[in-house]
Amino acid sequence: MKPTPHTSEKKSLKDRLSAIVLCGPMTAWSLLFIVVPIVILAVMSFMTKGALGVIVPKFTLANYKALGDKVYLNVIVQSLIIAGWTTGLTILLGYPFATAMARMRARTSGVMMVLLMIPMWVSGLVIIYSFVILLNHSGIINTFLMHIGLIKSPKSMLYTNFSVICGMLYMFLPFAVLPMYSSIEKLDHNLVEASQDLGASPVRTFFKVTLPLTSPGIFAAVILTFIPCVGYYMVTDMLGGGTSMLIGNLIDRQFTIARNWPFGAALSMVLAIVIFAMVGIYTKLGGNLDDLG
Amino acid sequence: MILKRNLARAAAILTAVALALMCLSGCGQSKKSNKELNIIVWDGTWSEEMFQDFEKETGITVNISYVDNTDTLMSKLIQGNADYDLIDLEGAYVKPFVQHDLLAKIDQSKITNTKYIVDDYKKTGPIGDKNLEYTVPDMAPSYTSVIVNKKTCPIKITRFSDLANPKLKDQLAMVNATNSLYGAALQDLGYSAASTDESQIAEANALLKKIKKNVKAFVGESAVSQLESGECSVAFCWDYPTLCGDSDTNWDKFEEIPLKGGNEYCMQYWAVPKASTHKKEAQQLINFILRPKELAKCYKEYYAVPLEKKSAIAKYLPKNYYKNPSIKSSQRLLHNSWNVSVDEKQIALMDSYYTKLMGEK
Repeated sequence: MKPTPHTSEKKSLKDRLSAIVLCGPMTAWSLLFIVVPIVILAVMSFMTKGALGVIVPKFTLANYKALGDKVYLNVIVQSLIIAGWTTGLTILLGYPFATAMARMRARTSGVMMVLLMIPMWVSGLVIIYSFVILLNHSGIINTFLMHIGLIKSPKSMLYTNFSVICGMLYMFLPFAVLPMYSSIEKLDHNLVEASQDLGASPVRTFFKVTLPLTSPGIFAAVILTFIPCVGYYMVTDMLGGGTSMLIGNLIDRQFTIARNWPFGAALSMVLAIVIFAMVGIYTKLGGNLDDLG
Repeated sequence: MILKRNLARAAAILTAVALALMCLSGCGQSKKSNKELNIIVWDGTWSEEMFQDFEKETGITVNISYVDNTDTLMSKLIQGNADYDLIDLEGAYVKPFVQHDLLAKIDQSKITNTKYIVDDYKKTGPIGDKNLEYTVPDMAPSYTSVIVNKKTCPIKITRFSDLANPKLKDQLAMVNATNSLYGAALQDLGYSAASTDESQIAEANALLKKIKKNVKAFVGESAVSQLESGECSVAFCWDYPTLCGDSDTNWDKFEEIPLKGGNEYCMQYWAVPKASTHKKEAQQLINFILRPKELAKCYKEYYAVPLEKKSAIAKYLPKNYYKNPSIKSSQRLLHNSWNVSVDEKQIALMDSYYTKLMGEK
């Protein structure tokens, strides 16, 4: 029986209503707290800084022109380098971990998954402070090592590259492991066996079969780690001693000490554009946005 | 085409919404009754018990907000988006607040308890209000100084430039406040901390570049943990009173160094915004807080060098309070200290040099 125009109209109205009820709150939330703030930033980035930090609604491109200054380019490049290193290290460490997890029995891998997720349940600030407590001169590690007689005086562990790497790895490892785990788990082991049957060594099999087949997971892991890393400066500040400036610090300073909100907005827009560009490249290369959560 | 038109329409709507929200942000202050005072103070300084006592005595409710940024507070007051009756203002900001006509004159005859304030602290007011017409001191000065661990610091420090000595490599913790860093460097070089001469600021930057090689950690607020844990043996910060207030074992362990170029001092002041509708009650509260018995409640909760004369306040404080070396040190630093008022041109210059300084390896 064909639906009458009246019933189909009624159904479509019902569908629309349920769509509004189901998606409305989330859409409104996203509009209000994601889209509108980004638009505010975008608008502000073309405005002029007035006396004492007041924003003057006068159009200018000066904030974007200033970004070409070597000083700011250095800061942006430095942030990208640190994010690159962190991403590389988390992938190198996370891939074998994800492989091991994928090969474990379901129950064991479940436990490992919970352990992996724990850092994500705790505030980043608490994690960083716990590293300070662990690594400082009178901290737990130094006290223990001195107690067992392994060292005579405390070793400098805090405010070093070592402490920054530890902190960054701890914060971002779960973001890298989860997509790689999902990719490795789906890997068709018949293909690995076929490669070995055809005489390929384990190393060749890994590079020619396993790695290409799990590359979507790796790429998702790169995106998920690199993006938050670029703007994240708490670890380098609190565990690295804040002796270098990253784009996150720079943005923070513009909104506080320098009182130049339009320039801070322009920097934030650049950061947002880098992120959107990365996600764009990811999808262009066939990446699935669902894998990014 | 339709998609393009819709996108353009959506962008226009969003821009309009954004502009409207920007204009409206901060609006919507609630109306208050005659028996209410809205005050804004710095966190970790004032005893809530003291405000409760004021409420009991006068029947006036005190609504407390906390300052997170004086610039934001100033912007709100300029735009008329805040209805505070009393503010706890940094001395460096008094001049722009007065220039923007944001403060009301205080009837000093109503604040009789200023008689208890140490004479040196009320001899001259902050920059912009030398005669204390708009402000009343609310805290003794705090100093940005060099603090050394007497046992572990490898050199004798007498001036800011000594911090560039290579023997201090990885021994130094420093605040990252631009005006304190560049101000100290300028003073050390024989210039004024208020200088806006770019060549002088560039020289100061060169000195800071040398010092930076020794810095183990830049800190935003406090260097206490770096000193107490032994991570650093020297710090350039404003923490000596906190360090001494933390534990009396720190009294002999650390020393605050008077610098040859002088130490930066910072004082806080009570001020009544011009837009306040309860100026009389605000002045009543200032006078109440200045009662030695009431102020002592704050010091018992949050250690600080007393604003008031020992003869007036000592009886309300613990017996060994005046044994704390930070009190003596504060008196010693007072006569060779400097401070500057916030200045747009200087902030912009210093910040661009600071970014360069921190952006370089």
